[in-house]
Amino acid sequence: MQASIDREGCIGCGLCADTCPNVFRMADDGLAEAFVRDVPAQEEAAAQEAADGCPVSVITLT
Amino acid sequence: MSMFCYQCQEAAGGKGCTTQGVCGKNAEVSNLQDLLIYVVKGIAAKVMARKLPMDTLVTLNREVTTCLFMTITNANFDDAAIARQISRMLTLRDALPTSADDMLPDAVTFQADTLDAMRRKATTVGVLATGNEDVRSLREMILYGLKGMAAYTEHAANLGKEDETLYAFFYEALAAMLDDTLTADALVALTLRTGEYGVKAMALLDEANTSRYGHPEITSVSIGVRENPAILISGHDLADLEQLLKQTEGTGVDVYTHSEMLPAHYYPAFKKYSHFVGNYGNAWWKQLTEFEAFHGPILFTTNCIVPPKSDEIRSRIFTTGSAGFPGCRHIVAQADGVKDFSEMIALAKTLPAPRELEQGSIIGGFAHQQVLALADKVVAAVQSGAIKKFFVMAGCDGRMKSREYYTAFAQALPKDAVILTAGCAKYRYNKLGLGDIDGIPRVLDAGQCNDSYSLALIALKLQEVFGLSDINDLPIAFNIAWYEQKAVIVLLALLYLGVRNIHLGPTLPSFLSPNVGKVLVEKFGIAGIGNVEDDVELFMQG
Repeated sequence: MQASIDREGCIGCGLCADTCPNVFRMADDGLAEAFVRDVPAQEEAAAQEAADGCPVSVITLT
Repeated sequence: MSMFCYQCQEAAGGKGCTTQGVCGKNAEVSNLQDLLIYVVKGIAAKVMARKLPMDTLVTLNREVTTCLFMTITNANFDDAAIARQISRMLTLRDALPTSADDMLPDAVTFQADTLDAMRRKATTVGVLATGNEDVRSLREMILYGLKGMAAYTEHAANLGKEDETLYAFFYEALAAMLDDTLTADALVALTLRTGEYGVKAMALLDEANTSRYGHPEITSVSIGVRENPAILISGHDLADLEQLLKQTEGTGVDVYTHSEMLPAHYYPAFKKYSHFVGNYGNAWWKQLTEFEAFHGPILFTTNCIVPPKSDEIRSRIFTTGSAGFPGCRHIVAQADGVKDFSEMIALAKTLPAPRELEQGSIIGGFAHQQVLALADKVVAAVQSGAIKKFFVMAGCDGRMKSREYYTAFAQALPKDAVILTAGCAKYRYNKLGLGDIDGIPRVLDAGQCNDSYSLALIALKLQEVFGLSDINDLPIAFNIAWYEQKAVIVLLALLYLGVRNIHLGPTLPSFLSPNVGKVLVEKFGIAGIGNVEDDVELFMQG
């Protein structure tokens, strides 16, 4: 599984970094970023939860 | 920045939402909500200037309450409904008597006849229009307390219970927010008075609910499903629930509660409905997946709505009262007060029964009268040392992973500790099977968030029984979880009642400026949360 964020639409709320801190973090510009491209197998459920919970639906998992 | 809102615990980045709300509201909704609040402040200024008696303002009182309620987190996402409410309030405002001598602020005189005019005005009257961050912080804390109070006041009024002193306080406090001469000390005093009226509002709703539906009693609530098609009801309004139960009776359609409506099962009057099956799912924020599995129509009587992500789910969501969502059908009461749920019932009949999420049951119903009926047992357990400490863990649940703290905290508590809860915070620990102490369950659920009033009454009763002069000498600790503005009024009510050293989490409100936060810490002993192990130790020592 790979994670990406459409940073144009990110509102910097921090929910994804809170939900799945091993994949997402808040960058210096205040917006979220996926700092690992390949989501470790044990993080997939949390990454999915982060994607589902994103209030602006900018997280894509493929 | 296209909006600014920091009224809930999930405010973006712990600071505030500036492009879209984490709750899902867009800038248009947020800004129109700001304007609606501004109009209401203007109305309050007019009422105060003319000292208009409350009994002459019957319609206005209810409308002002609705305005405050509509702007609560997750209640109303419908920009068109908010714009209509602004127009209605401007008309009501301009119909109020005035005199040439009155010094009228802009909130009383401005006009916004079109949506564009509303949009332009809205950007100048939001939270950040108050420059001084401490004054802003206090004003907003009072406003959020009023919003929570308004929710409780409206539910009580829906059951025919009103208290004019609550409306009078709404006007007084809202007008005070336009007064730039008020000092920070005066605003701190007003904050505490907000708590005082919060207690009154909760007491009024308690009376409204219990006088109509009886006192909550110990009840086992099923969390499984049956095979009939069904309607799910969420929110807090028991009057709406009663109408829905009556209209669904004998139709073959079952009714389940979701999230904050769970405690309805504890009221004796609702037990006669055999189709009132149980509670489905968990706290509000899990609704996106739980509604998918529920299959049937969903009725929101208040917050918390999470914007539905599919048209299919949106087509099954109905709102009523102060709740609203664009594209969802809104059910309005007829002149005789009846709400017609026939469309929902017809829709339910065409849809499959809910998919089972879990099996078993949960126990609740420990509101004040039920607990006081068990007082001898509780007191004996405390005196014998079987119960060492009570933990009030009332409040809200929310999306943040950091709220797993509350599950871990409940699990880590010593076996001689009892949790007193109310509100949807309970879903973090009400299915853990924490056992009982001499027959007293270790999780005592009083009800909805407003039933924190019950927990306060229980504490006051224990204080009396144990002959203590200070409520803080009781073996009760407060570890409250908050999310939206009803939790703010609960907090202010507890502070007014003299409760100190409340821990508040998962994060402290973004609307507290450093200085205002310092006042809360120094004057009232408010603190955040730490890690579970240290906190349990700290609480058990204190």
